[in-house]
Amino acid sequence: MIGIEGFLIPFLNLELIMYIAAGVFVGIYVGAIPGLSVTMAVSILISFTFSWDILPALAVMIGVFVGGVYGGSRSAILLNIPGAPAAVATAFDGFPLAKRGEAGIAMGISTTESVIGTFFGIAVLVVASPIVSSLALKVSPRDYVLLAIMGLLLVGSLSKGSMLKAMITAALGIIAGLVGMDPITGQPRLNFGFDGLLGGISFIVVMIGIFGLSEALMQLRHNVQPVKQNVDKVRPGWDVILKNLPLTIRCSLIGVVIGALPGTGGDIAALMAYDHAKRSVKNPSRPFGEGAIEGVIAPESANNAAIGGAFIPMMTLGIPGDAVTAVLIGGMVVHGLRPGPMLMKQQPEFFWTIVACLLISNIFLYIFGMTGIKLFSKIVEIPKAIITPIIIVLSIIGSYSISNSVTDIYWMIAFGILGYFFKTYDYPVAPMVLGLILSPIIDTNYRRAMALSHNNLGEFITGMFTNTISVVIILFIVVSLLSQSKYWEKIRSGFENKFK
Amino acid sequence: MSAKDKEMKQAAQSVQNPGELYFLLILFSVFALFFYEASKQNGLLQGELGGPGVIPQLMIGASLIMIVLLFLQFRKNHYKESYINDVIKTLFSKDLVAILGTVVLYALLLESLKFILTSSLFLFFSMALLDRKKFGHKLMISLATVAMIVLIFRYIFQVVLP
Repeated sequence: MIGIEGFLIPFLNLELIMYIAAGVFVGIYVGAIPGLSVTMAVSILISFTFSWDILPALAVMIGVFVGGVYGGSRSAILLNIPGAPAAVATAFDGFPLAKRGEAGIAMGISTTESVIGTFFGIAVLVVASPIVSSLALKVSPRDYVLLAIMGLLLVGSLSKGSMLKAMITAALGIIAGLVGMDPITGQPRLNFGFDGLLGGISFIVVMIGIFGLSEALMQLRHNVQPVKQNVDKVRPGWDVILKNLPLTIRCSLIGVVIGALPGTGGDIAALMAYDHAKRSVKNPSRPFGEGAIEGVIAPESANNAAIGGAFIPMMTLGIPGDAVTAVLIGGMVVHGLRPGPMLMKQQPEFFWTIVACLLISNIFLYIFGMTGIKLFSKIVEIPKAIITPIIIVLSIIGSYSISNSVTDIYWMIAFGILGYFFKTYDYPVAPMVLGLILSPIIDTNYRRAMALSHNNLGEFITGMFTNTISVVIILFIVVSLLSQSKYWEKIRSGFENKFK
Repeated sequence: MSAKDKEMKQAAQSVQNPGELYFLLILFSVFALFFYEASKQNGLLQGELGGPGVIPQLMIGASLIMIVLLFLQFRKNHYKESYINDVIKTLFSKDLVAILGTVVLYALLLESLKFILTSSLFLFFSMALLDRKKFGHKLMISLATVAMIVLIFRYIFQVVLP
């Protein structure tokens, strides 16, 4: 392993360790506040650390990345308002746990699983970078469309009630994501002639409105009282960790693979992992959506494993795995380094230094994550008359901070009211967020795939069956659809009886 | 899907909430407007498979069909819509309307009165509206919250406040 001496550099430098610790601490609290994104924090740090040496600058940014992805789960569990898109799925079972007075254990599990997921991601980064990066390069626009379709199948998993209502909100999410300027032709699309809509509707603003403001309004309507939290036991026992280890590993694998695909990240990984947990766990601790710990384990291990995955194409190919690694590449270029195959060849010790920074960040993630739980759990016990207006102010700051525009605040309020109606009439809101995430992936990749197929539908479809990756994804989609049909149980029990 | 999940889905489908039909009608109108807008782009309606209008037309068209199917489901379940007064009473409690009103006012006044004053006023009046006790206490909490927000966001995180 050439350049492995770079691995020791952060461990032997107390200053670097302190920078990493500071980054993780700040990242957790940035991630916990809806509207303050890790991408934004890392972008600000690039200008902050412009005059620094490369290693301290990288150390802080990596710390913020690792802390921020985890931090989103805090507000997701305590307030049902995901601090980051990657924590959307954590709210499904994390918030019901908080409503039962078990916010402490929910956050303890989320911290532990995030740490395990990050370790898994780092391990894959070290061991399988060349294999995963060559696979990521082979994924074509058509495969992205198929992946997006696979993602849309999650709609069924994310909805407890009417499937039709879930599909309507998912479609609305996709449509909202298409408003603005068409990225391929530069033409206005779905903007009704208003120039103000040319910039599109920010996904974060919609998320804050749909989850933040609408949740505040629903709690007012139902006069929800604060729940006393049990924080005697926050650290999950070894029996819980070991019992759920197979699920953790599978979800971490999902996280790494999805994270390694350029343009996808922890948000999609977490939702897919949650869906996988729902399908594969036969006897969850509670029904999914009512406080199953497996519903926290799956997304939290996946979204943190996606961090390691996102570094794979970044380090080996110079292609960002997600928005944060895109900014990190910019940060490295500013400091005179260009990640990619040449850096891996000429300065391999850099790769190992980044691996070490990720490892140290993970250790601090556990320390800071576990120590703040008891204090954070108290947030849920604050009377609604006090906490609800504060949540609204934070939602407004979060919406404004995206592009320093008051228009985003109005959008947030509009989607908050829409979210209130959705929740009142049992339209699940999670599919809408899924639709927003998948919208650019579906649209851009479909059109690229059609262009590559010379706008010939026959060529587009037959091309799916001549490409190995496409065939594998199609198989997953078919199995996924079959597993929701009444015939699946018959087929499965038939197999089980045959092999008993 | 487990038997319990199926049961929950069926139960959800048979329950209607006051105003649901009106909401469905509003949704249909919104999607119809979007469809009209999407039809201006080159897409399926124009016979183009790779145009910018393909996905919007497909998604919006599918949504309109799904809304019609949902409406037919309501009819099958013999859903009867409530009077508009009952709908408003159910959906909008006094507290909710008051808070929504203050939120909208807050957003409108932010640019003219700036963040510190508007937020302090919003926090104090909202807290007082929701719990008409200990006004002095609530004033202290409002001012302390705004001070903390300015310290953390403006000076530590370097975020531009409204």
